[in-house]
Amino acid sequence: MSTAKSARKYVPKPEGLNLEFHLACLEAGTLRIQRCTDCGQFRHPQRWYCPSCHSRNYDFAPVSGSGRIYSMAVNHFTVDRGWADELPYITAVVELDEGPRVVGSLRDVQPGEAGLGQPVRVSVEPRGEEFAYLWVDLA
Amino acid sequence: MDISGAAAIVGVAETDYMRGTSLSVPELVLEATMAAIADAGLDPSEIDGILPPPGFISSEEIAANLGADDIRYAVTVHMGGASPVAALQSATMAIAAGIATNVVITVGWNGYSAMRPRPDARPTKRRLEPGPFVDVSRNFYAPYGVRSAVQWYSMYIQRYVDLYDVEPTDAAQVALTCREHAHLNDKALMGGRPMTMDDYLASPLITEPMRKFDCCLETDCAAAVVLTSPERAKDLPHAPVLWLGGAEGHPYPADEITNRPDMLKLGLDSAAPRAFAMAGVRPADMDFLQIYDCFTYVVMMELEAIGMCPKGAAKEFVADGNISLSGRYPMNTHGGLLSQGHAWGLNHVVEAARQLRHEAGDAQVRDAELGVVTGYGDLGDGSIAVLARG
Repeated sequence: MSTAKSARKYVPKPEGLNLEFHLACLEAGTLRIQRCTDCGQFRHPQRWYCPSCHSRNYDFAPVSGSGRIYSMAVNHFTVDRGWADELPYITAVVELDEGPRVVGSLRDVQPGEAGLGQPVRVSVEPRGEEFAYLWVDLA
Repeated sequence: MDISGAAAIVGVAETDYMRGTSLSVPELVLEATMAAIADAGLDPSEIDGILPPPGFISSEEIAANLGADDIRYAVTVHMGGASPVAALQSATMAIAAGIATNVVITVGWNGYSAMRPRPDARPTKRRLEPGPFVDVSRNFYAPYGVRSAVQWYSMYIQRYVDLYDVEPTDAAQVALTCREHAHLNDKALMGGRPMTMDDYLASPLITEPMRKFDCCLETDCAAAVVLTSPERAKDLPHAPVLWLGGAEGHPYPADEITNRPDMLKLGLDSAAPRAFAMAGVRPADMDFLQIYDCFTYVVMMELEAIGMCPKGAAKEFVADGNISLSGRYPMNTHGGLLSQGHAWGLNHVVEAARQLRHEAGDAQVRDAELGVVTGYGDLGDGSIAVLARG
């Protein structure tokens, strides 16, 4: 019998622009997405230059958090011991109403209970001082 | 500058495909490299170009073992499993431009033992260098329990099967065909181990829609190929295998899957038309296909990307024996990553060369003159080579 205790979940140590994203979300308590302050285009993940107009000016703008399931990883196996107790678990790709897509954990949903296109809400939960964990709930 | 036909594969080799070995990765890489150079009829010291794997052993260290004291071209391709086939393009460019004369491409790794070291194995600092997407992967996917290839790719494969109504029994055709072909190959790890549709359907889900038997093998192994100019190839022992055309392609953005405008557009979608145009042939002209088969569903997307069939039609293309040795387009005649072993798809190049030399034994495609090899890696990078019997 295995006596290994369950491992902790991995929490990254963000740096640079990615850290700015997490701090912006944590400060607001809701999802923020990097936006070009010259042309207004959202971008995610964070980039130094706006790929549309090549401006270096940006802010982290509020978004509604509502969107739809664009795709998902429905996991029945994991090499990550921190997630072994959660199997099966669903990682959702959410297309936000504002356009950008984010990855988060679909909560309290079993495989087969959710499909592509289903409306969802994304919320933020602090994991330490510098990481904003994204939860996805069926709307 | 037209580089179509400017280089030929003249030597090929592969180690055994093993689940556990006492050999280190550098030893495996050198074993394959030495064997490929011998197969080419060259002396190791004649090598002047090296494309090593991303990690484990450097071109400098390989050269020092070969006694190759005048290396003129050394570059590493960082495209994961798309690296070896993209390296064919890089090697051909170097030969066509007169930069190098005899170029070796090699890869090797401890695909099995890295995760399952023997109890008595000494720790090693030699490892695979992570792909260029590692920063995005560890910050945006890994915190949510998505940290392996099957999980990353499922994010677009879910959309693929949803859009085109692809069933597990469709993808099974890829797995079952590779297994059938493995029985014809002495080096195939799964040779002599039959797989039925019931076996496939009974294999456990890993990440939907992938089951265990949709996933390739993990093996300790290495492979190598040697290229030179077609003129020099005439003096060497084997029928030369001409690089007629090739290309690499990168999805956009290549380092992140989920914000691509079209998540189903792979690097191969842009690379393949360039390769066939350079080669001056059509997909339908191919006598065989060696398709990078990390996962069955990825094979189906690749077949569509290279133009073997329209988008969404791979499920018909792989059905009814079309891709079996007796079919119109024999695919992965060595058993592939799914049933031979996993040498980053350089084993697909080795097999393509054997087919075009007419040295493929029981798996020989009769009168093979033209074939295509693909590579696929990282988060959907693609590479392709159209090869011809010289």
